[in-house]
Amino acid sequence: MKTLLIVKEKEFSWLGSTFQNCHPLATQICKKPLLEYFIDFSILCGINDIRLATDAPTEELVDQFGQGSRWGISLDYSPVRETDELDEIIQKNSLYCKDSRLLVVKGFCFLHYDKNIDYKYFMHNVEPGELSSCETGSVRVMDDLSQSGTVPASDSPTLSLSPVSNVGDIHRLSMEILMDHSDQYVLPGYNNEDHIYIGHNVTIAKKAKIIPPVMIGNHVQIYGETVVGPGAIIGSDVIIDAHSSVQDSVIFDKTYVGEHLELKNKLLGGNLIVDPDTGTQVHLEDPHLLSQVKSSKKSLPLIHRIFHQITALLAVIIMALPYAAFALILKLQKRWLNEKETVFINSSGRTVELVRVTIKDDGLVGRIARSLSLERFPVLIRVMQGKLALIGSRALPADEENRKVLDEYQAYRPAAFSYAEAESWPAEDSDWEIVERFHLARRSLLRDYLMALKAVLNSFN
Amino acid sequence: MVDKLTLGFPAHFKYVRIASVLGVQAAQFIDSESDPEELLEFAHAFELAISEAVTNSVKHQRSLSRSSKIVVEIEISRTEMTVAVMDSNPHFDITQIPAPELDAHPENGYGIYIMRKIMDRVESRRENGWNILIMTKKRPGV
Amino acid sequence: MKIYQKILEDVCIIIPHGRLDASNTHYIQKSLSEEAEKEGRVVMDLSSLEFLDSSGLGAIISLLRRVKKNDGDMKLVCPADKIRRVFELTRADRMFDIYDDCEVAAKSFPRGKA
Repeated sequence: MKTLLIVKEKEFSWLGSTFQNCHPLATQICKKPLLEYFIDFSILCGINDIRLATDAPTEELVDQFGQGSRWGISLDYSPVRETDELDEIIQKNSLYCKDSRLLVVKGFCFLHYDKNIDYKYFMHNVEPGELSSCETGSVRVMDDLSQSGTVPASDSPTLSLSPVSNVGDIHRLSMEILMDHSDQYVLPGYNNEDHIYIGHNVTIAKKAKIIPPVMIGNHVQIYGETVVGPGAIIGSDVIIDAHSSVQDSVIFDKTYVGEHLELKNKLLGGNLIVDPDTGTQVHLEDPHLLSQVKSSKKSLPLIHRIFHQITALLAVIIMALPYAAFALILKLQKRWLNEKETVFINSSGRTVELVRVTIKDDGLVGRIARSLSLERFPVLIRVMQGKLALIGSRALPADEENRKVLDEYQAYRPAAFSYAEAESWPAEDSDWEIVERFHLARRSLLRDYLMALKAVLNSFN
Repeated sequence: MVDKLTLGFPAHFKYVRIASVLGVQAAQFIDSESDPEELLEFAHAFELAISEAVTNSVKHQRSLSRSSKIVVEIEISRTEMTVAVMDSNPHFDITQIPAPELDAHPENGYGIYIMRKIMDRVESRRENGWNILIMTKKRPGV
Repeated sequence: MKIYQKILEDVCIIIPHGRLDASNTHYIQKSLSEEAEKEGRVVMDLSSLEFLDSSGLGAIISLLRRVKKNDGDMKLVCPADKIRRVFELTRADRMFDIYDDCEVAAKSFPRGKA
């Protein structure tokens, strides 16, 4: 038996790129991409082949799901036309559909099932025809072998469809599953306590209150005096700052929830808040809800600057000898590359030239050099001169694009080490910005000292 | 360990595939514990990207009658694979190439676009009279 | 590069083998006979193709345009993911009806047109 999913672009175009920069079929319901529910269900039916027929681009899906080997199935894609009807789509995939029973799911919808049920017998013996439908889709069994079934469709175990046609549906489905049906699906995260799912690298302050049911993703920091739950689904790379509460709400990946925010019955992602009942969307001007941070365009107090400079001076003195020795060895092996780069040193666009060192050696020498942070030596000299901070933002190369970034990044303070590094925050996309802005708003002498230490230790490891 | 392979050949379309196949083979040398499917996709990405890059170099040479030389350098490090395609054509800056208008379905002009799509980084620079196009992609499972 | 051709009823089927890149796109251009171009029922079966880049893709798009000029159509047969990826990356998949079986593709032309 095989699965054929048919989803047309017009069926999910309403979703746009509302929350997540991902393919609509990767939209998360309870932190699990929609497509993964179909994969799981197919596996429960004993199906190893899944084909997605769509007129929409699939690159993002290919990047995320590959060819399905992670699930032990084969997943592939068939490009169809917007106007193709079911029979035309079957024709275009006739080789795939030949000599097999087919589970056909059509439309942008959610399939309810129960992982504790074995669907294999039912699927192999049910009479071909429609099993369930909703406003936006249908699920049916087709049979190319012209085998008729012995089990009527009405004898179906738990199996039904729900439409996914607006943001409210995403919220409703997420909450329903979290609150009442979490045992029916395989959900991501550790589940050592009932109704609490937690990912890895999650920090929860002592004074934070977690009320189940909740789901928390990876790399999440929850600060003091916060109340999370009941009914909170929190994505990965999220910070929930002090005195905030999250209830009956979904927070998507890479979101910062500022202080004293009360979220009840909302969907929140990046700088967008949506009310699921009315669909009202509010775009916050501040890209990360950092209303408090935005005003902090203040230069560093003198004592901070002196601290950064003196620490850099000490580091330069300690590193000078090893730097000279390693640079010489690696340069002779042509594994030490110096490149000049012009970077912005403040948010109004002043620049300075930096020497960026790349150590292209994976051997012992290169590893030692890197763990001693020797490649930062030239940058530390700039810190000593007071041009850069010791720890702060990533130094952005001086180009047009970054100039625009700076307009919205008043707190920008480039440094030899970045806060994102210190937190070993994933370096992709713009997630680092969240961490940087967060720490920039809270910088103090002691904090900076600890963070710099953390960054150095990280490169040591 | 950094392994390096170098291939030099006259700028002629018939040699494009030699460079492209070299890329596929080199990528498959990676002794990766990652999923073989992912590794194959990684190799195919280089097969296509090199074909596009070298085709561009052949197209842009000064005169088609006297082929200039193209050098392809493949470097595999612990974390990524890098391919440099070098030619002595007139200065060619990839940042000046407009993206193709996909909805108009043109018959050419996809080369740089495809490279950018399937590689992690594509850069070009001019050095001692050579155009150097550098494509980098993280190894699977890294 | 070898290009096989066969006629199935009144449909011209073009089957390129091997690698299709800038060195042999002209073979693709020549593979369509005048007669077939006029008839306008063409299937390009890419299932024996080992490799395709954007030069090869350009040649296929140009062929489609030639066939369409005479109100004909060219269907594709394209099972391999690697080849299809090129179509997807460039959105060229939106120009074609793409089948996974050559015979079905050949039969998909509306009957009755002389």
